[in-house]
Amino acid sequence: MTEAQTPTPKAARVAHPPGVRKSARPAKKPELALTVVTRQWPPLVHVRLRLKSGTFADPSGREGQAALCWRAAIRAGGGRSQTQFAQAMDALGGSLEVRVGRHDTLFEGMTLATELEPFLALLADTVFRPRLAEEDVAHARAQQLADVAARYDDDDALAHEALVRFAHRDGAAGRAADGDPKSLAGITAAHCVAHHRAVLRAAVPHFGFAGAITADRAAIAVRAHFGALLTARTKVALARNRPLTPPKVVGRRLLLLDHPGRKQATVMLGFPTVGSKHVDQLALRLADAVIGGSFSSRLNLRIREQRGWTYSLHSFVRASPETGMWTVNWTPPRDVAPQSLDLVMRIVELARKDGISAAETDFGKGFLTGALRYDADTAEAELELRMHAIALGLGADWLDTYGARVGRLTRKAVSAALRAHIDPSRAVAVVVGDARTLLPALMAAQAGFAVEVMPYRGAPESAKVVGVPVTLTPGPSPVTPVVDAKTP
Amino acid sequence: MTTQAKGPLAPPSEELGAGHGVALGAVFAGGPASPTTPAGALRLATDAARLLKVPAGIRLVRVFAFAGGFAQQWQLANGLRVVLVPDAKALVVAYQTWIAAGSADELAGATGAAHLLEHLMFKSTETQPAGAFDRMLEAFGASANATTWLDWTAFHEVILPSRVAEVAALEADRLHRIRFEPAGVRAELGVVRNERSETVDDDPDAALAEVLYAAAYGSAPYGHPTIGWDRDLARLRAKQAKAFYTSHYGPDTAWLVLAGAVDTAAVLTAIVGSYGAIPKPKTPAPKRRTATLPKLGMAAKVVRIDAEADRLLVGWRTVPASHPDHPALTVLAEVLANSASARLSDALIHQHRLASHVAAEIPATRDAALLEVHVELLPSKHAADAERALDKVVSALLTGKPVTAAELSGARNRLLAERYAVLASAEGRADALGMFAAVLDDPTAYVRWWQAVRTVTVADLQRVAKTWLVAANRVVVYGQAEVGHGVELRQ
Repeated sequence: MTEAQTPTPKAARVAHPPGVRKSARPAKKPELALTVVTRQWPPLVHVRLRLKSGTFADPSGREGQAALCWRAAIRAGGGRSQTQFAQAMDALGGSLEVRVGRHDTLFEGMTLATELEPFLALLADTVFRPRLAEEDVAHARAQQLADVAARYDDDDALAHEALVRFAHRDGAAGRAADGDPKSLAGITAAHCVAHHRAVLRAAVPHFGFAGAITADRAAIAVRAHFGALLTARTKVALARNRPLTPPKVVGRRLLLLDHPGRKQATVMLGFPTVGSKHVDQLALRLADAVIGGSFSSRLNLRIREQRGWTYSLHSFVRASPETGMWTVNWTPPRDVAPQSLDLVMRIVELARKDGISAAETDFGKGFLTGALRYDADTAEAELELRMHAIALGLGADWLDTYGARVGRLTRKAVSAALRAHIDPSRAVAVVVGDARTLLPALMAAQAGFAVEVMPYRGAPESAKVVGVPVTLTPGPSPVTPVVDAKTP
Repeated sequence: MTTQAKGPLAPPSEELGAGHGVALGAVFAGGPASPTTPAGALRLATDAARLLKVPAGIRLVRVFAFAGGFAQQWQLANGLRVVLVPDAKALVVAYQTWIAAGSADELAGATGAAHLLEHLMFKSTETQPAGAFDRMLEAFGASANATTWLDWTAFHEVILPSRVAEVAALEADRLHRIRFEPAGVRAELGVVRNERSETVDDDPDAALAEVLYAAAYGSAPYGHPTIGWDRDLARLRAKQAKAFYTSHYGPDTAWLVLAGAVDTAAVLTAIVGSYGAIPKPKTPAPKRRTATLPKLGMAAKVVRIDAEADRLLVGWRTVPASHPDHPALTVLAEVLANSASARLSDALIHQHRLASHVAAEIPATRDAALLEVHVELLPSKHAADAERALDKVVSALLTGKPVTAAELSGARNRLLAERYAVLASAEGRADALGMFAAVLDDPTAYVRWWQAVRTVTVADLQRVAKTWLVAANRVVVYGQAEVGHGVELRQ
């Protein structure tokens, strides 16, 4: 059972924690955005709290602030030290993580159903009463720097983040979401306290529960523990929490992150496209399933099955409400990386030119509708899908109407969407690998990418680093020189 | 091999939740029953399964309480074992095939053959062209994949309930009719070698895990990596994969596990129709080779890794999953790591500020398992310092600072929550039973193992720590971070 509702306020018991201003005007009936997916077995409850403020609110020069401050906040609070807080959470068998995105902050927790009340009390301490002492921030900073460094060990994660920042390098999304050593060093406990207050004032919370809990019980619990969040928010969004603008991609650009000694090349190839609310978004997802998003897709057959050029190849559409990126990711050995890039580009060009077949359309419809049922197999997974759809502006009924909307897609509409929204002459790519062998071959490749090279450890956390050879490549496709001194 | 029906397994009360009436409803076509006690519910479920109209050639082995309902074990005349976990509320079916053979069953010099074969199972058969398996499943959105490990190879799909018969036909087909086409095998060997480069050679943690297992097991079956040594992969051909297929794949070594929206009678009919005619192999699968385990307790092996921070890997060679100490060692690993207040996490991350991540686990294996601790250090901190801090924690555990009741309670609660999270999905339920079936030849071993985890005492923890966390069982690997270098064994 799933409900997205505004329950009656009869059980409200509003607490006003320090730092949250009480409204001077008569209280209006508090709004409550709550999504509940109930399944009584297993006796477990998943809890989500999404606050509408993310890394875009980080001031210039303090990149990574939101991530750092929330990391510090979930360590100690409600009068408990770090050790006491950890012991209290662990004793419940609970878990609590916080993920900070561009536009929002998501608390994700899980607890045994019998321990829900004490778990929510701990979560409320985290949200309302974090200690945020210098000691907490210093420790969180060391951990965050370790995570930023660990990304250099993971070529896939590095390439993915680098692609976003390379494509958006002139915009807010081009900044390092987790910060870099310099920006993190400048963030103090006082900054975190101010950030915490600002976020709570502009919170716009969305609560989610999944598992052994009813919608009524969830509503009572939210009002009991988080009532202040419902009444204290202002109508003013954080000034810097601006919308994501589409990347300005001209021609074909490729950033080679030189990692000497790597046997493989990790390729992340992106095509800017439309946002999640665009009417053609679903058609693009069907095209994705046919071209690269399934084991039976054109790219998998040609690159992996027939040639054995990669272990993994997959494509996906990642979209925010304003803009999106269709991305293809594969990991060839370095000696065939340029050939594989050429072949992928040719397959994409062909798909755009000729569209997809009727049989492929049927395949794509079956794939999308079936896959959604598997993706929503558990209460937690269904909650994720529902909350994500709401965050993307797709509406609370997105999941329920999905099958019908997929069913209405036609070959003509999908082919037209491909032509309209995937432009192979505007592509960005990031390749992580050994430049000694990759660079000459990439420059000679037929796909005609303008290639930039830089050390892999210089990206992605420092978007302003230059000092790299900028090489223009001849090729059949339009090539635009990349000579902006601000580029990485 | 379990071929005789056993008496009903005593139902642990926690296995029977609000769902058990619903599960009964799935067994009884007539709808939920209302048993008054767990034992009564089990008897009722067993009777219901016996009364089902099933095709000839399959028989009920047992019914047992599991995951808020009941699971049934059936067997075909050719030896194929089938486990069904019906859940009337589920929308999908997890369809899994577990082969009770993995990389530990490979011959020397042919490491990687089991895993290559797993890849080739998605290629052509005598009746289906290459790619047909994926196309047919993905046409209705099913996800299909496979995994090979030390003791088993598992093929897993999540499908719509209406497609069980089609998938049964495809799975039965590839269980005994794979074609080893040279071109397909060549391309797949390329894929596997790329997989090794991507997931081991270019991944410092996986590369270190190879060193740890090689040090702990030497030339014994767990000593080589599942993906195979690079030198063996270079020589691997279709014939080694085919030999593994012929000797280890068949109805006598396979377990089918179906969980979720399972219509018992219809599923059994589909299974008998698809698998019933597969002949029973004339000779049983060969026994696993044996080898002397290496002596442990030596100084740390130091490996240069291309990484940002040092790693410390410590393993204690302990016991198989069938051993009575395995559940207590599972809880002990949780007391040591995997949460913020666990002893090693507290010492290495919070007190000494040496590490960013600490994890511990003991896998469920047929032979003696390695209780592993993985430490990822903060940049510029050293593995040797982390080892000293770890030693202090273990030493305190063994001598002056035994596990407290509160620590045990917290560890058990965390394990319980994680277990529930796994069992929430049809795939998770099938995984749990399938793995224990493949490792210990008995899916109910999972239920007993879990019951033992729940009843572990502080005294048990102290005893197993003193018995197994000793120098003679210990192996240590340092990953020494040197940016820009590939993995290279230094000593």
